[in-house]
Amino acid sequence: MARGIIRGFIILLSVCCIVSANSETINNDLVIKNVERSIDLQSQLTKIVNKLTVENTGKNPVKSLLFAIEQKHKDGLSYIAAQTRDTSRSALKISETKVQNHPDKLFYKIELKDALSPGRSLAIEVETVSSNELVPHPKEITQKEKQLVRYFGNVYFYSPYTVAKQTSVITLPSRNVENYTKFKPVVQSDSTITYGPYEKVAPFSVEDLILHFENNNKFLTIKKLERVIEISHWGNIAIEETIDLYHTGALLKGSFSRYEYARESKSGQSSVQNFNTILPAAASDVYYRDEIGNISTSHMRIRKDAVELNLRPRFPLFGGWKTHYVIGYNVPSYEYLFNSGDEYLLRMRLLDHVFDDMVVEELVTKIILPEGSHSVKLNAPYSVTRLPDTLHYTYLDTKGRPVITITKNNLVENHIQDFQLRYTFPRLLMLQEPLLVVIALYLLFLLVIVYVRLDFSINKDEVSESKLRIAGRCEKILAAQDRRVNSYNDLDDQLSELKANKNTNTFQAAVKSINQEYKTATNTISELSLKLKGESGDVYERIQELQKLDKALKELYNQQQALYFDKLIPGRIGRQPFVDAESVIIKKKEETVEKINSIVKSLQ
Amino acid sequence: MENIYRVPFIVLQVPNLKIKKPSWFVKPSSMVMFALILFSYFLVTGGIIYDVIVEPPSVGSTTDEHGHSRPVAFMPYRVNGQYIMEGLASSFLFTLGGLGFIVLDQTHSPSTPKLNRILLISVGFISIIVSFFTCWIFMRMKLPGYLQS
Amino acid sequence: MLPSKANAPHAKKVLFPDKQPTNSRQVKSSTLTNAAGLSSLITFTVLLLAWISGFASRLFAVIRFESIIHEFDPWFNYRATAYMVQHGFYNFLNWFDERAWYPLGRIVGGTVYPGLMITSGSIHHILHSLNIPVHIRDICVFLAPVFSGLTAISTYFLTKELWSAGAGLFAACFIAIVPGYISRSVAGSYDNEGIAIFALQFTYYLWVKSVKTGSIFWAVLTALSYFYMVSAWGGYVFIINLIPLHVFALLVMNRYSNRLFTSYTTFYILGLLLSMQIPFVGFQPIRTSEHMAAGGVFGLLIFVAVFRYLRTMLTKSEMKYFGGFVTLTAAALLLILVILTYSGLVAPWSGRFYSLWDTGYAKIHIPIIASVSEHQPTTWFSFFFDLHILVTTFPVGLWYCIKHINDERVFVVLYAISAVYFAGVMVRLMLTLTPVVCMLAGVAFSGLLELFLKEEDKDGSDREGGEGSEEESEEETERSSRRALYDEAGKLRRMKHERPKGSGDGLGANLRNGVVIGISMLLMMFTVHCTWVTSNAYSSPSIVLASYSNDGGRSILDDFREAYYWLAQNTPNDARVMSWWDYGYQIAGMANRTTLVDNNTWNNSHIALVGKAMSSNESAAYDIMTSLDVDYVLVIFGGMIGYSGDDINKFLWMVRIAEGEHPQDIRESDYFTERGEFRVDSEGSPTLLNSLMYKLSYYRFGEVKIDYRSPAGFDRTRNAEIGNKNFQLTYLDEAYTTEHWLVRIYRVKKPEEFNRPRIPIAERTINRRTSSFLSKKTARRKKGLIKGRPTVVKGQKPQKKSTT
Repeated sequence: MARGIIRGFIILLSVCCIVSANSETINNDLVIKNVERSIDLQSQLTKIVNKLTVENTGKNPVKSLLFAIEQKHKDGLSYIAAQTRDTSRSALKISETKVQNHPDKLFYKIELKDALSPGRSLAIEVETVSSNELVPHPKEITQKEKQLVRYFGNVYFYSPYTVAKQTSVITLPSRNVENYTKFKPVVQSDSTITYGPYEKVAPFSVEDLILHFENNNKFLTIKKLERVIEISHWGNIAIEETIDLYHTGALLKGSFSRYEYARESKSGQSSVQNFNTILPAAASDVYYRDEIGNISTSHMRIRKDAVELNLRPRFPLFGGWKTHYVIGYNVPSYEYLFNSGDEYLLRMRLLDHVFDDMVVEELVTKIILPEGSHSVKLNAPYSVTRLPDTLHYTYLDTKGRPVITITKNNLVENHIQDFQLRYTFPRLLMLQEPLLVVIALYLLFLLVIVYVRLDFSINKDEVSESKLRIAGRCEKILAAQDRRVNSYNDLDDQLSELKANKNTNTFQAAVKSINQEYKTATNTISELSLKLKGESGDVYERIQELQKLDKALKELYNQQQALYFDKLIPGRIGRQPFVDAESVIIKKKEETVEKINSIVKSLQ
Repeated sequence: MENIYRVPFIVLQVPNLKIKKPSWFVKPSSMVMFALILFSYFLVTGGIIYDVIVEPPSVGSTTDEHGHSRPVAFMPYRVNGQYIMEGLASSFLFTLGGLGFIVLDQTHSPSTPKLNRILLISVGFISIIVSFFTCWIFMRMKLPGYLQS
Repeated sequence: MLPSKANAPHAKKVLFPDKQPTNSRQVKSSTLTNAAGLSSLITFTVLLLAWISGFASRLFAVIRFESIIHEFDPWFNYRATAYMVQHGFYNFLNWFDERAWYPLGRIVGGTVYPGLMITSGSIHHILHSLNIPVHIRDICVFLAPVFSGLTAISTYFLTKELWSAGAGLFAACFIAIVPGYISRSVAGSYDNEGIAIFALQFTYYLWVKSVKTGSIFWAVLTALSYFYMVSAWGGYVFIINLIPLHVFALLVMNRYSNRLFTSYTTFYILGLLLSMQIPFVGFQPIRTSEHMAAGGVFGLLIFVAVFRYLRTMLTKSEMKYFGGFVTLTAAALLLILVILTYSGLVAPWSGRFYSLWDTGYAKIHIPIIASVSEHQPTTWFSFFFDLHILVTTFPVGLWYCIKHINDERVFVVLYAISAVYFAGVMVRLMLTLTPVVCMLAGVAFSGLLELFLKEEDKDGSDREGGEGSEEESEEETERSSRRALYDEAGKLRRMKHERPKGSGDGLGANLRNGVVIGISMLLMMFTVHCTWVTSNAYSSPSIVLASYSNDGGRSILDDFREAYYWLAQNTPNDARVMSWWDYGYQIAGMANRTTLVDNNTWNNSHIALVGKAMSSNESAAYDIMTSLDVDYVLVIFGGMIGYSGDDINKFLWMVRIAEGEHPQDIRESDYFTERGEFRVDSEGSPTLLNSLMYKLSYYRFGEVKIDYRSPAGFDRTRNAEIGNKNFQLTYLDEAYTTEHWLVRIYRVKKPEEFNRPRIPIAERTINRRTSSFLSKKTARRKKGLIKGRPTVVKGQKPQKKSTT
């Protein structure tokens, strides 16, 4: 901050030095042949257009001329510009300057494009806009009274040179004028007053001009306008303006009666109920709110060249009342942001339109550049104060975004001009934020995975674990049992085959492999059961039971096999006894199988 | 140990009392408890406390255009006001629905024969439906816009 | 081989039944082990959905209007939170708010439950340390909906402990959308209850858990969660009375166990110490009667424990001594307690608490409490409106719990009974009833569907869709998964089920499906009801009103904020605004001006003074207002647009409260007509027609004609033409009136302003410049009378209103 102030001082100082360096003298060779001055008092501003015709009566060419402002108009002045009045209407360079032995007045030096050679004359036009020169009189009015203001000016055109001939035309908002300085010759025709023509007026001559007239136009002043421009390289520029609005007209005296305000159109003429704000044509998702939320009374009209916003403050503004609001919108960046490689150029308005004939007492414009942009160069359309850069942190920022802050006092509509901001931004940095998100999510998932895998319990409870272990064993055993069952089924197939075609050899061959499988399965079961023995007795016993039954079953099979081999194939047995024997065996088999099944069920 | 808790009785005469719970007192069975609770629930949902405090009439009455006063059962448009009867009626419906659910649950005791079950199920279900839709109608009486728009 | 198979049918027949089952079993068991994972996945999904749907259904207000803080108390909480975020926690605890209760002021840090502010403040802190610039207002607005999701989850856990996971999921889904809870937790209603219900459920879950396990760990967690609850809401008294009640009931039912002893003693000691750390609570836990029950039960429990211990080692005769000893000590303790209470060391029941027991108490003694609409006793309507189908299934769940009673189910039964009683006494305590209703309804539905949905018609559950379906399929997987985990209980249960199933088949699957479909229909109706109630009854931020014109267009009446913002911008920063206490918090929060009374109604006499000022005539009121150096007076007036909640309708309460303190000046009977009616038209009692409130509400309203049919000065809310029309205000001055006349603000004149002699009109026009204090009333009155007539202008009025 402190650094910033110093920096600001340096800028100012440097300006002053330059000014004081070239302090001018009044060149008496110059004579103003004709002045047509038109003073526009229709709004709260004083807009004066002076059309001068300058003649060089001297010997040597003149490169520049001076334009003077009275002391009492000094601080009101907010904008001044000069241009030639020929067809080109090219703007002339104008700069503040000092003049010897006229320290009290304010001088501007208009530099002509090409020197004015002797005897020649030149037509130029100087426009000045100044604020706060219309003072409400009386200071306080009631709700139903109309607002009267006074203007203190100069009948003559105030100039450092002799003026040969001059006329002034004053335009007023309405025809009813309380009174005005009668300084002949003067003519009033309804809402305009014409002074002059006057001949041969000496330099710096002053004749007071006082106008007292009705002016019910908006007397609104923006005490402070903070404009924040946030640039995102993903194609969007967000603009937010925070506005402190005062009604600087005649103060409201006495009470405010909603009844009259709603019923009579004449009451509260000077109050401001709503005003129009012009936004850029591309403005989208506009919002209009204050500290306590959205201000629901506003209408948006989309014109083809602009977005017109009709804003209504929460309450009508009478003299001396104030309000405060925030308005924001987005614009696509391609209209304002241009780049070649990593070099970017931002061209936007330093100040934007709030309402017609507005007066801004203090403007603070903040430009938030994307994170990582550097080597910023600003060039403003007019002299501004640049405050020190700061940092701004928002979503996914690590080292903060640079903020350029500019401020200027006493601005009017004519100051709505573009500034240019150059900066460098390495493209790759755009990937930084997505990557941050990705990495964060990745870490999160990793954490969850690890957490789920780990066991944080201090004591592990034996019961459930052994349960699970036994369960696992049971699974294995059942699998083995399953294999065994398969072997039995194969054996059945074989036996049936044998019964069908009494071919012993093939049978022998097949049975060998089957028995092999059966043995392995049995062994696995037996050793598993041994392991189980330690852990849970009853399961172990059940398995022993299973084994016993299984042995029995096997035995039965052997019997069947023997029956086939010894009795059937040799044919030593009759049909009937064979069937009986077989059925007996099969019955036994079924019983055992039933038992086995029951055990198997119990094991799951 | 002996002496420790004998200490106070050096000064105190031990009252020779026999604390045994009186004969008439028996620990109530769970279903009795439930019945009690259900009854109190019936009263409370009927807004009995409201009736006690605000003391509304049992049924309201309006005078129609001829000047005859007709009784009205429901206090319309007043969501936090009621007459005694409407409260009791609706809480009766709540309880009825609850009993319907309980009956539905009862149907699954294996002993009951099939016909009884079907009867029970239908009874329970019907009572649920009845209570539900009647409550709906009551709501429509209370605030006519109910479940519309 | 094929032909051969045919030849040996026997062998196959024998062994296939053997083999197939085993195989299928193998397969099944393996899938079931996955099903453990699957079910947890589904549980997660359902809870997530419950959270999301609960969150979404609370956003009506935000979508219709904007992200804004609702009614009254939330504005104070928001203001306090903002203060804490701005100035830090310790400054918040030491905050003396001189803008409230002028001239007394309020020690905010010591008179507030800081849990809410701390919660949202810490969320704000975390987000900002991550560079996420979320405005504190948005955090406050969305806090309650987010916490409703947490409530659903903790309800799931609690119900799971009590009954089964399926029931838990039901309960979670219920509480996510049940109106009884939504009413206090819509987005923007930034109030203690929003987080307190979560704390309540979570504490109960931990308590049940600790009673089950008897581990100190869970007991300590319970105490911590209880601490959070104490910091969050005054309703913690409910916990500290319910848990001892549970313990006591267990003792009476002779269910004492060491688990109980461990958990309760740990919980009580820690909870006591922790709860005393909250400044607002301070020493109440040992000083007030609300907390005495817990201590008594603590002592009793220890007695029982010692008793049982001694009985293991003492002979019968010695036990006799001991019995006497016990009785004596108990009697002594009771005596001490009584003495303490009388000597005032232990405060007797506080009024609010007492009004829970003697239900008529508040009506007679504390009109302040009785005047709050949410303290009214509950009607049947609210029960059905807030709970819908659950109100009928609640006894069913209770029945299940009582049928298979055990320690923790004793707890839920007690919870249910007490909550039902309290809900009957006060509408706002519906909030404490809602969670237990959801839990028991979940138990009921899961119990029912367990019977009606069998494995074989699992597709039945898919067939239904709607709300019910997911939980039901849930149900099944839960059950089967439990089987998969070699859980004996699960296995037995299944065996049990198979039997009725075997015979139940006879009763026809389609009948059962019919019942199931019916039940799920009810559930769908429930969701419809909840959505409707939420969107129509509970989602309006009462500071922005929306009026629907008959052509469907919606117009927003933003008068409250208009007035408050006018105060904030165009009055001196230290201006003192007098209004009825309802609007105190809003004035402080939105207009940031000093108020005389506000919504924490701690000082009855001060409120009564304001009530007296409002209800006495203008000059008497002026004395009070000057003695309280009031600068502005704010009244709410609904007569122009027919807004029923305005000050004239609240006026009788002001009179009653004023009468309570100043019976000699204010008498309620004066404000009624002879026939005991309260009416504002010409038959109204003169005392009423000349009271300050009446004048401030109807000042210059007599000249307004709303439409052609009704006469001038027709009050739309009371449907009457006002009785006292053309009066002037001597001591006050209309400062601002909002667009629809909803809020009217008056400036209290300084003495020199109305003591000044009146200047004749003739002079006034001349020296307009110099005379700063002229009373313009006669001028305006003439104007009003002369120009008040033309109907064209009145024709414009409605248009003017409709355009806004």
